[in-house]
Amino acid sequence: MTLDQQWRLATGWYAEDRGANDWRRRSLDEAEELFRSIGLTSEFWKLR
Amino acid sequence: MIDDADVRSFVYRSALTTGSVPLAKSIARQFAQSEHDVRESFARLADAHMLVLQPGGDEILMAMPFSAVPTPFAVSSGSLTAFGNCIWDSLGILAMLGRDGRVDASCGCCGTAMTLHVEDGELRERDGVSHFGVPAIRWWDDIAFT
Repeated sequence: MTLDQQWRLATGWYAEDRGANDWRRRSLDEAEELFRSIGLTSEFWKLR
Repeated sequence: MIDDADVRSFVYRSALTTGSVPLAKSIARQFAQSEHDVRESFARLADAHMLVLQPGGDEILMAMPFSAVPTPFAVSSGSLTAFGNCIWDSLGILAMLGRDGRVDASCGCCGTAMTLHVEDGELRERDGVSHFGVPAIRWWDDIAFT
């Protein structure tokens, strides 16, 4: 992927408070939606 | 029993403050619990894919995006230094911090030094690509390899 996509993936995935007690892992649907939103749409990025 | 959410939260608060992932003994001290209880919590968090443990399971290897051990992805932001598990995670550390900083990495193909800078919340560099070798559905087959 391009560096722009990589930065958008890093910010989309990690720019949240993982130290919060109520933090939860994103669902497969949420993860795939993030991938789609930055153009990662091939079979390579499918989670199931 | 020690609360897994408390352990996870402490791990991330420590990593975000110091750049380092805490050892079981410092977590045990923090919560006045035994190291055994902390390691049982580690195991539950690892089963939930919230942490990755070192071989043998005694200590944390990854509190994504932080690595507990040195890697080729060195992150610095102000006085904080840390290691990411990969290029995604090293940029993720700067994203979590919400601060400017840099990642000193190297090309996975030829080893040429690559430095990336985040300034004003944006990645300055535009040239280059990031390579993933394992399809997403298989990442957790061996997350350390991924």
